[in-house]
Amino acid sequence: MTETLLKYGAFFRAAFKQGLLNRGMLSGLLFFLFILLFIYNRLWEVIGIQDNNSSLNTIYIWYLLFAEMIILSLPKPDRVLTDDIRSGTMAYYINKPISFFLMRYAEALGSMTVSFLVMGGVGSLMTLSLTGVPPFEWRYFPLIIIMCWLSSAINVLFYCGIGLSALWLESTRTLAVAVERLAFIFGGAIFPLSIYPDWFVDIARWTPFYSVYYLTIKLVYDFSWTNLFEAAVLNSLWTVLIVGFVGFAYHHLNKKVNIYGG
Amino acid sequence: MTDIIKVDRLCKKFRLKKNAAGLKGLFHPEYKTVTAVDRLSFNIKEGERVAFIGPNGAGKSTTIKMLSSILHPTSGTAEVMGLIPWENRRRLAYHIGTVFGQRSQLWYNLPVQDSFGLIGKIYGLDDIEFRRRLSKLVRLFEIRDLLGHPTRSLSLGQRMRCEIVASLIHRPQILFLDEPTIGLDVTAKEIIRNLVKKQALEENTTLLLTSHDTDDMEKVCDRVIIINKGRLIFDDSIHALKESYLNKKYIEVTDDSGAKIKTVVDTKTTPVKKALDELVQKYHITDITVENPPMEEIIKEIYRRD
Ligand SMILES: Nc1ncnc2c1ncn2[C@@H]1O[C@H](COP(=O)(O)OP(=O)(O)OP(=O)(O)O)[C@@H](O)[C@H]1O
Ligand SMILES: [Mg+2]
Repeated sequence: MTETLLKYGAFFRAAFKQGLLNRGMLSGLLFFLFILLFIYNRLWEVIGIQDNNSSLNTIYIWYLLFAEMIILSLPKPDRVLTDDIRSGTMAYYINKPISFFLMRYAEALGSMTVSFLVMGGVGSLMTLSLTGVPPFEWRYFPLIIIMCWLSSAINVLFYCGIGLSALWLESTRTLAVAVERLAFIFGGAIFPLSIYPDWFVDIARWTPFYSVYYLTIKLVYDFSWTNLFEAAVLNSLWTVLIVGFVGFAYHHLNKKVNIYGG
Repeated sequence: MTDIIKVDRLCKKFRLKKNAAGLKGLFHPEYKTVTAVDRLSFNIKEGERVAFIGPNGAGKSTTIKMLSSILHPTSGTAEVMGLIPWENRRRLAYHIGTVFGQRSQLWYNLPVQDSFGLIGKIYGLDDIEFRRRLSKLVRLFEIRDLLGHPTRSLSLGQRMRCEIVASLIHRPQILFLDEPTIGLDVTAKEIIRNLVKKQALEENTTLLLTSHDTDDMEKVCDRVIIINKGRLIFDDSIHALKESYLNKKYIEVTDDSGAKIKTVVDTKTTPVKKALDELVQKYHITDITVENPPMEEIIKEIYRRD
């Protein structure tokens, strides 16, 4: 157990270190984040003035920050895995005492965590200066951060699964883009789903994005133990489903590699 | 000494889709079977250094992939250290090392040292053990100056030295090298050959090395297996091969007018010295190359004599 953790932990750390060195990527991310926060802050300010609700932008901009921490921190594990499958790289790991998939997943988690933390740190300062103190109580902060990081980890796993579907699909990129769009719509990537009509939310409920993004991020402005519990249970359920799919795909892949090699 | 590798009538057939494009191909795929390895049998003893030689498409890589547990055979069987490779991947992994010259097992953007570290983790080596092992290999393969550089910045020859070190970190008893000298210039090839041989002798590693290059086997190995179209056509010591098939030298000289003169010398009837003396007397030589017969000639010759 500890040896396994050490093994994959090494890949996490290596990717983390690489990510920290990638200053260009990080600055780009922060720049984009700032633009988003700035524009939507103005928007909510205007709406807030019209509605006579001055706390709107505080709530929604902090929500937006955490949403982007999950969404923008995603590396492109689907691309990496698709390339590995297409080029046959995977086959050459079959005789090494490591699971290729978990190795790639650990690397993707490492890259994700760098962006997640950097955006969290610098983004919080940006948001503080734009709208003021966050809407959550500080004692809940660790829980919120952990829940959001876990959501991000599920997100990464999901895209790893998409990468594995290279086994059946010509273009996994098309699928990844489609999923990105759906997540954007049903996950409340920019606005919380509470401002959408009910029928829309009813549809969204059936997608993983509803809990993995929206319910989790909502804890930022609406923390309660019930909400936390709901998000945690639903996220776990989706994780089980995704792990099931990944396991299935990986099993098939191994069988195919057995026959065709690199 | 015991046989560390046993191969018994090993076969590998690939099924290829013939008409890949178009709707017809989608609904009525026709298959063509390619026999990559055809009833191959041989045994290798511990500590032997075996060259696995043959022309393009002979089935060398496919055989190595089966022995190193990457591929399942279609029929036949093999044992590596008493284990059937494709059924004992994990266990065998700790005893074999593989280098595929056309692929890299190092992380492209990481410093070589970090790649080694990750590989050490894959094999579950503890830090002290890892450091001791690496420092020995670094000395043996003379790569101290390369450790801090990312893989992408290495020359092919430098990279290949690092690849071989990467495959040796976990002290495998058997090393499979698939075309370790591919694409290298003469000097780099020579360096790799010397290092591989030195390591194998020092640690008694069993070596199975594929190549197109007959020089590779002469310099590194003590035994040679030649395959063609998946079949074994020669299996004997390098010495025997030299005696019976490498007795021709291809000499090409350039004289001062720039003209190239080619001759083939049969070293059984004419000593090389005599042939060279004659050439020197006849021409004003500005350049000279002496080569072994190419792979194709040897194979033709083997078939001719059968
Ligand atoms: N994954 C695969 N799918 C289909 N055919 C394959 C596959 N791998 C190898 N082959 C075929 O099997 C035959 C043997 O290939 P192999 O790569 O073993 O040859 P080789 O001796 O290593 O050749 P080279 O010197 O070019 O590397 C070739 O005809 C090749 O086209
Ligand atoms: Mg080959």
